[in-house]
Amino acid sequence: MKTFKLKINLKNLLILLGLIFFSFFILFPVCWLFLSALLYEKDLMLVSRGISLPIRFTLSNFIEGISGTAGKAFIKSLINSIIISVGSTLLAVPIGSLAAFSITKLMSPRYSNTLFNILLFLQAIPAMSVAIPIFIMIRALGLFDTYLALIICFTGFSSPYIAWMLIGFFEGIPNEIFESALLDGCNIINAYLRIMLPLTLPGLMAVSTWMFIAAWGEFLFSLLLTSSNAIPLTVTISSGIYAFYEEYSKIMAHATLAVLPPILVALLGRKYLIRGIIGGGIKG
Amino acid sequence: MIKETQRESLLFLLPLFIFVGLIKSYPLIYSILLSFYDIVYKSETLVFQFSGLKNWIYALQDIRMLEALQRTLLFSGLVLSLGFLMSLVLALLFYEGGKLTAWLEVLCIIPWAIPSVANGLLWQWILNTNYGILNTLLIKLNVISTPINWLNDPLMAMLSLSIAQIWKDTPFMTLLILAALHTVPLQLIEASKVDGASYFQRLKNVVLPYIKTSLVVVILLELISTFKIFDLIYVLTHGGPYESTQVLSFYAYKQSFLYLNFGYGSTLCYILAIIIFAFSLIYLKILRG
Repeated sequence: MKTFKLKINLKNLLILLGLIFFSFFILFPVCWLFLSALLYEKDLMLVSRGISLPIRFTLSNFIEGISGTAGKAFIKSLINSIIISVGSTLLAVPIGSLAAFSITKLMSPRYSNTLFNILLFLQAIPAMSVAIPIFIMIRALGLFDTYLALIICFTGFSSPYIAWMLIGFFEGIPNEIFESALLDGCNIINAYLRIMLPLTLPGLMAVSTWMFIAAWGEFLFSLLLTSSNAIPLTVTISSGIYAFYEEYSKIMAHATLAVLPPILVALLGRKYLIRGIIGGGIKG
Repeated sequence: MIKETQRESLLFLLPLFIFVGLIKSYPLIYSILLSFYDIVYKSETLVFQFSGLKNWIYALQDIRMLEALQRTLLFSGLVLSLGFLMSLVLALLFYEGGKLTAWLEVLCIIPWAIPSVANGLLWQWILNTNYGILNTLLIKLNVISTPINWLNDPLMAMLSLSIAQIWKDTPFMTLLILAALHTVPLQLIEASKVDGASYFQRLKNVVLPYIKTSLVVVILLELISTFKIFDLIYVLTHGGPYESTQVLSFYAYKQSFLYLNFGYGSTLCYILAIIIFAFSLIYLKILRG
């Protein structure tokens, strides 16, 4: 009995140590980001070198970060990011959902298996590999530096993965439900809108969350396809080091404002998100 | 009715086909054509000159390409070995922790949601040689006596890059592995407990073999994402110092958009695509088989 108890304690102790290390590893960089943004530059340099503890907090980095010329550009790109992320979510999710519905419920299994593989293959194409043609194409179409250019790119890039994630959710709905709706005289579009959409709502939440975060964080196309009007936040903050002459309190204030929206969206959609990605990536 | 649904099925797929065709398929074909050309940017217009296999032959002899490929392998190796091991251990800890650690799983989503660019800025600050908090901590804990040149030393830069990437990716890999662990039937675990197997015996003989496929999938997904890495390098090291973190995707970017060698750049981009396709084929085979 004694050895049994000891074993349990040792095990719990190891778990506890591991988890403390992990929480520190995960949380410390995020907390340091927020803390750095809340300190005066002079104080931050002392705190970071271990000379003093953080005692005076300020919002001045945030206020300076959104005022003046640099602040104006920052707010503009924040709005751009919101428009582009929301826009591509609203476009890519319906497209992916229609495709997933078609593959799971309308097609014969022979075709749908092939399409499933094609979706996976399309998903693997790296952005870098098509960057040059897209750069040339977008310029030729006169879409350079527009929201539409980025929304089209993000939608084309993400809709295969969205469809692929949603397939898992559609597969969870028994075929009988769809078939009986058709027998009752419902046409396919109505059956999709009235029956399938509400039943796959958790899936739609998952892919919307994923898409918003992916679009918000995208960098390569944003960098290549914008120059002033449509610059999103990732591109603006990527030049922060030069813009602020290495004043890290201000750089971190901008970074904080850039990471809060995706973190909030991820936390809100967390329950669906994990299920969605796991449903697509790992089965059994 | 069956014929009708087949026709409608194509209609429902049409929007996806249009977008994917425009943004993925067509550019992919365009890109391979470009790789057979020398392309110069003359007074705002592109001048194409057919050059056959020249770009491809040059790529295979280009020492900077081969070095970039080596660095890509090194980066993937570092991130995968350290990151995967860490996420496996953590997933096992979470699994044993049960409800007690459920709130920690929430935290795992945070690094994943942070844009890579912001992640790069954050680690640039943490790893700053003279003012960074990491050097301060290591000196206070007496691990080192002089500050480490994390980002300006060619040897350390690759490690720094890997640390930043591991921080972002490990928590999410943990969630994926944890999900796989939850699929192991409890009866199987109970049975091995009854047989008197120790924890590590059980892990080796029951749990890990059961989730083997999922683990390979997690490794492959991470391999693909490390081969694609660009955003983090752009912000954190920009390929430097002395090209020591110039991986394949970053070299392809530089050739394409800094030196404006669209022809040779396309060749490099295609080499990257071929490698990633090879990984994806393995992934597909495992997932389906």
